Amino acid sequence: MACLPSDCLSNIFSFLQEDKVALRASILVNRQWCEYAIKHLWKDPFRLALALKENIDYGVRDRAKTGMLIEMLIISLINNENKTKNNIPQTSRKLALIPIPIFNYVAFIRRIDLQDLGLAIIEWCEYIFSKEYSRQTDSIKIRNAIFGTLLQRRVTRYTSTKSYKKDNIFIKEITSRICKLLMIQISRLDSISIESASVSPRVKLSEILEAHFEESSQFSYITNDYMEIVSYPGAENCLSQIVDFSLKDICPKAIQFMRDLSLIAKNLTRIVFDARLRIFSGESTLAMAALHTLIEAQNALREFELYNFCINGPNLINDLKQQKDTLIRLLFKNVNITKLEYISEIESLINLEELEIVGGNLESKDFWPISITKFPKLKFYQIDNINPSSIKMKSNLIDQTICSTLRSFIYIQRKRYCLQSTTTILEAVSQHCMNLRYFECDAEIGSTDQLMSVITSSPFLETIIIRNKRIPLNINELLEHVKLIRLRYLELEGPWKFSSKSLDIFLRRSKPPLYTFVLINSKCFEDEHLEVLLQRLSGTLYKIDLRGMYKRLSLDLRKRTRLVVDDFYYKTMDVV
Amino acid sequence: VKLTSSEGTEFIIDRKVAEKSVLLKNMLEDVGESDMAIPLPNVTGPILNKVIDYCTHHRDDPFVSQEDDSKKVSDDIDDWDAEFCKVDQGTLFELILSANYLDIKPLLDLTCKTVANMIKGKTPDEIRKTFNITNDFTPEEEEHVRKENEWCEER
Repeated sequence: MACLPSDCLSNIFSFLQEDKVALRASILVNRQWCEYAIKHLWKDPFRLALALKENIDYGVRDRAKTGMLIEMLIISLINNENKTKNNIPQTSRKLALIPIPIFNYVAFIRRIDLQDLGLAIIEWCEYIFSKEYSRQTDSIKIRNAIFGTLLQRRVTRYTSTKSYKKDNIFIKEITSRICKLLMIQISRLDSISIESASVSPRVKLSEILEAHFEESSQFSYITNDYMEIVSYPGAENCLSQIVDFSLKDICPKAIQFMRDLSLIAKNLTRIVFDARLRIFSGESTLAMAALHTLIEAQNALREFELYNFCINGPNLINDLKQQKDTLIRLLFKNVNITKLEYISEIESLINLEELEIVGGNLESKDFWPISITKFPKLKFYQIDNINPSSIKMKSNLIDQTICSTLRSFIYIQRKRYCLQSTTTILEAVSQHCMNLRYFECDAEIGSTDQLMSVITSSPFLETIIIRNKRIPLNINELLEHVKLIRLRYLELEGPWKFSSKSLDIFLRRSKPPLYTFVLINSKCFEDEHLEVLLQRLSGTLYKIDLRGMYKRLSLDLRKRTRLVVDDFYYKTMDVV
Repeated sequence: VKLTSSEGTEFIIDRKVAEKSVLLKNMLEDVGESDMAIPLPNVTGPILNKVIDYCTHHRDDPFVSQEDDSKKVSDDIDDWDAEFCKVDQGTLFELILSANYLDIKPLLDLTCKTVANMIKGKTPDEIRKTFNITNDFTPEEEEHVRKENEWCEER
């Protein structure tokens, strides 16, 4: 491996940046590996340390490790500060107790989630007062030296350090000192986010979140501080090159944060905003205004994601229109739209490659205003039914536009089935899409003809997922006529009717490299069908998943299947 | 387009295939069509053969510009590519070097991902054995690095 140039080694580690274990092993291999892997380990350290924070198993030992991270960070911060200050006499004795780290870890940090940073700081405060920590004299010396240099406060072994525990003022001071030093010492961050953990009353919280998400916790006490980071000295420099910004909070501080950031960061390529609101309120007016300022300030926005919000005017889409030269991805999830005309201008975002509008509410009987034919570069389009009305696509037989780049089309009737809506959408797909690779549809489908025209118009389909849970459709004719030579994944849910003979004809004609076959709640699948699959797809089929089967398959055949198919799952319908 | 490998073997390939390599693309743009073979002294014949296989298979893929590295994962390798990378380690490393030299980003990423997957789940010692690396840390240094990064240790 020594023969690989360093940029290749760094490229290899960049693929492991979310794998804490692999990176940790890599830094211990030898000096060269350490030098390159360590940069990736410290790129986004708070997220790595807290990646499993929502997991119920995240316990005492993980929490102590998070404390260790912050301690190392503080040591690195203090050492850097000391280098620039050139040893101020009164602190030098305390400083002598603080070890000099091998690397300048702070300089490697490229991404910060402020919520994780805040959580980690509180974890450190817990950690340094823990019994395990207090047993080691060296640790205590370091702790007291940190207090001394970071807070300019005299602490000895005998003064009651315990009084700092649970002391909100002390924690506030520590947090703001750490944040200030970070802003000065990090020359360039790529990404900043405030992504609150999703606290749901239904889910049992992990120990760490349980401790910090109470209303009166120390964590809630410092949130105001870490959000002020934008106004600290050095922030202008540190945050000016940010490309990725994600905010999942709508408190006044967070809104202010967004406003301040728009003065500094002009080169964002991605904005993610989750307002966690479904209805329009006073808070949303403020959030909308701040969002407007932020989008307006950008030179070349590429991706925009909006969650749990309400669009009640044309402004947002107008703002995005200003970014239309660069904007390639737009996602609205659980965004309520009060009038369809507010989003009709999405059609003018002609460079979009991905468009996803899911989970929102809309009361309108009008036709869906966003045609798939308006985006010459579109690769991915996902919509679901808009409650309480349903999407209807206008059919225009004169329009012969082909969406040649469109590879994936997903349509889901999430809340209720609507036959008429499916019809208009399948018509549009078969009329304009000739090159789909991925087709997913969870909807009420009234006839096989529509499905047939979708499938025959895209002969290179690789994945087909169709869920039609109510209407039993006979697809024998479809199977006997279509040819799908690239089909790799097939999933059908519902009471589809097809004979083993038709299945055999389809597999013989297409010879697809079918890798996965999933069938849910099938009323027709029997031993003969499985025999056909085994015979025609021997060697290629890796997974068969049959669940909710109405008919029982013979034990012998199931045993035989298990021998040749790596992943075979079979369950009959639960009899209530 | 004609190419010669380090031992002088000549390869004739389509311009479209050659243009997968940014190095060759730029060269061809500068020089224009010519019958002269382009010498590639850093690439051996068998490796060049593999590289051409790769570029031919992916000739119709769109050109991907520098991707934002927040989406870098190593488990999105398709079947053909996975099969392509089933080679001995020496060949794999030579492929990395050639992809780097010829500036073929998707091939470089693919081979680096393959190495990344070989690192996954191994201890430092197993990694050293796999890649035949000698540990040049002093015991104190190793302990120091370990201690400073104790936070990322598994429980």
